[in-house]
Amino acid sequence: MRLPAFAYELPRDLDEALELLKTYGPECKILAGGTDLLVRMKQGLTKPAHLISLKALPELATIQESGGLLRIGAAVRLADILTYQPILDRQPGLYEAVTAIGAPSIQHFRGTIGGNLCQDNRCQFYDQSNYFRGARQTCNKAGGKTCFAWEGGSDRCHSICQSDAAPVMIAMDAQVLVQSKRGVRNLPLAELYSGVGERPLTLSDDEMLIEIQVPDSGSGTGTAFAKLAYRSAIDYAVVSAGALVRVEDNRIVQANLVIGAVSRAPLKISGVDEILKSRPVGDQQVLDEAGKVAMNTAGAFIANNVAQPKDYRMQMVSVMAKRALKRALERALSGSRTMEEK
Amino acid sequence: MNRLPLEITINGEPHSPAVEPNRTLLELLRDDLHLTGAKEGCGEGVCGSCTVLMDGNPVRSCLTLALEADGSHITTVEGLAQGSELDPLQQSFIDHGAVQCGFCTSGMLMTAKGLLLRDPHAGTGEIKRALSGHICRCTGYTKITEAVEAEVTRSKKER
Repeated sequence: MRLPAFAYELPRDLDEALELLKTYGPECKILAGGTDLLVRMKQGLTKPAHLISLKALPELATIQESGGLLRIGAAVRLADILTYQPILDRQPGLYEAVTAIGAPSIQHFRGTIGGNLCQDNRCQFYDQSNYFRGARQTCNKAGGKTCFAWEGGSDRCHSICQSDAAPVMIAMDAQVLVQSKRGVRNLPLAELYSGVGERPLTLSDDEMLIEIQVPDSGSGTGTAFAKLAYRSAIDYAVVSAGALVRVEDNRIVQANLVIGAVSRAPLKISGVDEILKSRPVGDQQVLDEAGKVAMNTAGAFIANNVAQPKDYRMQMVSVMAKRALKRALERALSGSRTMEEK
Repeated sequence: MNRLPLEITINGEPHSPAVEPNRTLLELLRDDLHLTGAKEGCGEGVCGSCTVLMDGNPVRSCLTLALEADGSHITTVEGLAQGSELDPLQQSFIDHGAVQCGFCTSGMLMTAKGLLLRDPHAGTGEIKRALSGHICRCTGYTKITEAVEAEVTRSKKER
């Protein structure tokens, strides 16, 4: 498959890159690993006139620790996250999520963490060849006026955010650094997502994701990521869940749960915190209740945007939520925060 | 379209072609340099048959712009053998019947080679995980895994 024509820009520093972004705006796309963008260009889903390569910007590809923050550059390759020992030691949920992205020989040596977070939303009716899409009307996401994923049609796009890294990083209260020629913004990762299927990110055309900042959650905190997919590699999630649980004096003091792959943006399940905090640590039923809350919240969003039936995905929300919470809790209680040897 | 200069080392030989921005590494290898060992299967990074090593790590050449490979060392399946002597990994694939129709073989070899360069003692789990991004439509996965395992065992003995 041939790529359409474009001009290749190779900025030598961040300032030059931001200047190019300002100049070309909606006409350009940032090329990091290319494992998502180039596929969409081949399928004719996006036709940027300019690609801005991050190849010559090593400053975006470093991992640093400072002030209790793990600062991951947006262009850090997934393979570099997996071999960074402190993440393996202290952020098992993040490690699990990055492991689950794509397959080692596809994404891990080219794909970047920023690219995973900034990938476009997906839908089984949209992410297809021109030929496939040509058999139907143009959908909302492609500039038309209908949605095939929503029964009876819809005036909004019901594509889903398929990032595996986002749910667990949002559960970990990660922040992102966004920069343009106008200045720098620091915002919660959750606010990077607009909840609009046609344009899933809140980034302006001249803005660029620079860094992701993950707080070092400290002892007594556990994180976990659970993903249901039909294949163990090169597959998008049917449902995924990221969780963080914090335990103090044998009581849960914080529980964050974020469900992935069911809605336009990663879905934070707000009721779970209350449920888990109110009950003793050993209470098994509490996880069932949390799973039910997640299922009911996600139920309103689930559309026919992946191959699996809606009802099945809804039930799996509950299962994935429980798995992620249970593992995060176990890790919080074990205190060691380390991942069990696989 | 404007052609841009590119400095690239392929199988130890330096090349400086001028390429169009939308030329993929796979097109450069196959169409310009006639190194047809890397195959185009899906063209979308799913099947693995276009995998080559870029500075020792497996990448999908169909999803890598030739220009993004500027300054790097590329190894294709043609670069594995030393003269007429096959790479031991290639020999192991032959000995274990890990080649059926052969379309996925060059990709499997390159990813396996990349894994053994990083981790010469890779266990079965790591081998399977590394190869998990490759599709063999003859479904000969077991033989392929065995061939890589055998090469790990052989090279351990040699050391």
